[in-house]
Amino acid sequence: MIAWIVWLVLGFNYFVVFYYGFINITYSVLLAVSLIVIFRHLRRLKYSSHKEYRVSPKTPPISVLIPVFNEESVIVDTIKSALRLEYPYYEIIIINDGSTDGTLQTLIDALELKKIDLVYRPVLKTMPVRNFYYNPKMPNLLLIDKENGGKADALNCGINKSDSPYFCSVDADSVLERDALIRLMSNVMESDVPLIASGGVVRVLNGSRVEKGRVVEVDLPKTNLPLFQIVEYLRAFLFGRVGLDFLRSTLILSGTFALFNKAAVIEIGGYKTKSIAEDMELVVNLHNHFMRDKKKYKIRFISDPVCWTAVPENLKMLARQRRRWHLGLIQTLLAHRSMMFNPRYGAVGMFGMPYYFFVEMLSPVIEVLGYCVVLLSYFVGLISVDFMLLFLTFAVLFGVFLSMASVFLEEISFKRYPRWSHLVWLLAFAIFESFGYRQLNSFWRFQGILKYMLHDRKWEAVMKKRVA
Amino acid sequence: MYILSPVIRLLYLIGGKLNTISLRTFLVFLILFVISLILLLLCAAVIRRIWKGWKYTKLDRLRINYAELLRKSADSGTVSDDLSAYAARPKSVRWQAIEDVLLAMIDRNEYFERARELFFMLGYAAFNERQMGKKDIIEKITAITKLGKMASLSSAPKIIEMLDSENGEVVTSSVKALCQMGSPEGLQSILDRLPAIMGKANVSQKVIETSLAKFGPPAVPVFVEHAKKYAGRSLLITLLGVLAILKSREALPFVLECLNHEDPEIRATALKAVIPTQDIKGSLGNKVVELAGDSEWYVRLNAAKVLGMLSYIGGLGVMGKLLLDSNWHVRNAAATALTRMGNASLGIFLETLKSNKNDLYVVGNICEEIEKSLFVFTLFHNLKSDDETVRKQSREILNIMRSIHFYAPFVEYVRSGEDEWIKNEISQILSAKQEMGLS
Repeated sequence: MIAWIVWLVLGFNYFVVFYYGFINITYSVLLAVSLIVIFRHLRRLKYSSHKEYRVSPKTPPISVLIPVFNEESVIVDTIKSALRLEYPYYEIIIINDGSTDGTLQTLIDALELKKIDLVYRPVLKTMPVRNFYYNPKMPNLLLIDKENGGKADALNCGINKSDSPYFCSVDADSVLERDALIRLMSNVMESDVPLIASGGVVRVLNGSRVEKGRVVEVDLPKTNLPLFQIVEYLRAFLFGRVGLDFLRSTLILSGTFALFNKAAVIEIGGYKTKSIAEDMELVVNLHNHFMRDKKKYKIRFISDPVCWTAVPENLKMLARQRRRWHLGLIQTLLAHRSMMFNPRYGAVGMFGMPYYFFVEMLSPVIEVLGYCVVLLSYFVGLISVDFMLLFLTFAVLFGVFLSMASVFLEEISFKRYPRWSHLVWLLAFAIFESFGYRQLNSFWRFQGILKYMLHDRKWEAVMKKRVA
Repeated sequence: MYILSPVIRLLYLIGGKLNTISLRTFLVFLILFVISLILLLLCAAVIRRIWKGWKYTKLDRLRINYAELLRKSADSGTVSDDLSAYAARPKSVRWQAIEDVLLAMIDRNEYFERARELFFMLGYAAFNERQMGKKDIIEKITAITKLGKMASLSSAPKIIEMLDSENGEVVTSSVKALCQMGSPEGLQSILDRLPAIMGKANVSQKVIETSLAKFGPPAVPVFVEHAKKYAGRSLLITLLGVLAILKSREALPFVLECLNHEDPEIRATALKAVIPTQDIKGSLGNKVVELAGDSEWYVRLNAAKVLGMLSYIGGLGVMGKLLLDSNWHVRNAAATALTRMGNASLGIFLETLKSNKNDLYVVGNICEEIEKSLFVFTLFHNLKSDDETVRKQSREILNIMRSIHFYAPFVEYVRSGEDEWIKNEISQILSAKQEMGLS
């Protein structure tokens, strides 16, 4: 019996080593690919035509959908930033999803809105709409007040009321850069195949100065947690998503900032209200539907359009967010498991889905169990202290390398953090990240898996720091 | 098995070699390797920042200096006198600074001709023409784009050759560049190759339309002639799309012809290119009225918009039918168009509202457009009109709006309107319990 246990533990140790080697090779490939892709993209960007499209009558109109729930302290700034977008034709649709604070009245007062009676066509089913508000002096702005139904429901409501062939979902606590929309749309206009969804980079707003809905000074936050998240976001966007996009495996476009072809989304029934990660579910569903029907399409991640968003500044909220994200990831992957390793779905089925399943979804389990089993193996004398320490050192150092590579990518590409102190702190936190923060993240994601297994799939609300 | 056996032998060899190296040593090696990568990244980040900082400080300084120098020389007409002041090695910081200043001048239309002249005399045009021959796609398209911005007409033949490239990005950049420089031979070459550009090279229609429109109204006769000669469907739609941007009177006879085309998309696109001019209002209006009964909804939609633009009273009857269209976009467009026709539309609105009282979408559409277009305020003021018919019709429409709960502007007017008499009338409408037969 003991022999069997020993064999199992040893076997698991070997498995952890093999698994760890596999994901590190995958990350290294993504990193190498991202380096090359970003370099080439930057060279293309210098002479991009997006400035011409800013004044072209051929640039398609966009509806900017901003679902809001209890965001009274930040929503007005978000609307102000949206009203200043450099884009020829767009409308802003704010969907108040049954806020219980003063969000509705704040919007009505700040924007001088009046009630208007409009026909609501529920092409996508949503919770009932109570009222519409508008300001005749701002004909491209509409506020919909509806009963609470969740973010996905609010977005579906916005889609129902949208008049444009494209819509862009933006979070209520986000600040879009003025040229963000036109940069996204340029890719749509120049695409040889219908580009039905595209997303840009989301950057951490905490610490930066916002005036009249615009980021006027980029700075680092004063607290540790958002600093760690800056490094994490750099890794996720500049390294992960760029690499996956090159491999035609974009499965996630951040709900904070993503552009969609409205007809394509309506064709698949809109956002799924039961999903916790409605943004990922939408993109995977689009892939599923369009590939199944053998229609030509593209879904792209573009690395130059930017949206700034606030991130949680305390552990409790961050934990909720990460659990929710991981729960949503599991839900989506399992809901579309028929795409996994299915050649009918091309790169998405053969690489994208397996990557998210084996690398992103399972890694917290392997990591958490791995720490436990390796320590256990040491204490029962199955492995030497040398080997254990060396392995742990290598694991931590490789994590440091990946994080530093992300900061380096930022440095050679968009360089939004201009000061030397910014570079020093980012590099420092890229090192510190692997000494506790990443492990904490893995633990929260592991909790997300447990929650899924225990059928605890409710949405955990995340309060973020108000960046004004 | 025969094929695999050398592979298997190789694997045994590697496995044998690995056995002689302990795992511990291997891990130590990996750790040292990763540490060296980390140190490399640290150094690279710091060195790069220092180098870029130096480079861009120098570049900014040079840009300011050259901008001032060039402006002074251009003002005094001495630009060509001493070119050695601007001599620089290609791709050096100085070279880039001068290029940036010249391109900025061209962008802002400052000393346009002087800047162009300097591009040639300093060798930028020749350099970029050489760059076009490079294998790297990005070098190619950067060079093509710059030549387009420089309006280097002498480079047009070389760029025209790029239109035949297999690479879609190269073709796209070439189209944009030729259009930006306004090259007549470029225009003809693009038009001649348009099917291939859109088909094989997959350059998007929007890019082509946006680019071709840069030639402006002087190119309209060329577009029309080409469209008449080579009447391929997608080509015709694209050229009509360009004419819709340019909105030229010169194109009007051709556009009117296209309104009779058998293809509905061509008819619909031609409608977008229509300009509402007084002298053809009658004949155009009749044609558009006919198209308002088209079998395709997008043709009807554009027809409704044009009728609204023309404020063509002869179209009132057909607009009434469009208010009941099966497609809600068409219904909305018809309602919006009618609100532009002022009081002439009252009868149509009223008749449609009354005869479709059970169809809330039809009725709702009309009331929604009346509110959104602020036509409701016209109806409020009509309550005081001298014309009895106008007064009566306006009141009836307002009553119907009230009965289906489209009364938000009523409440607003009562609260903050200017005219007390009208306020009183509206209050009566709001408080009346009337049997309108509408739910």
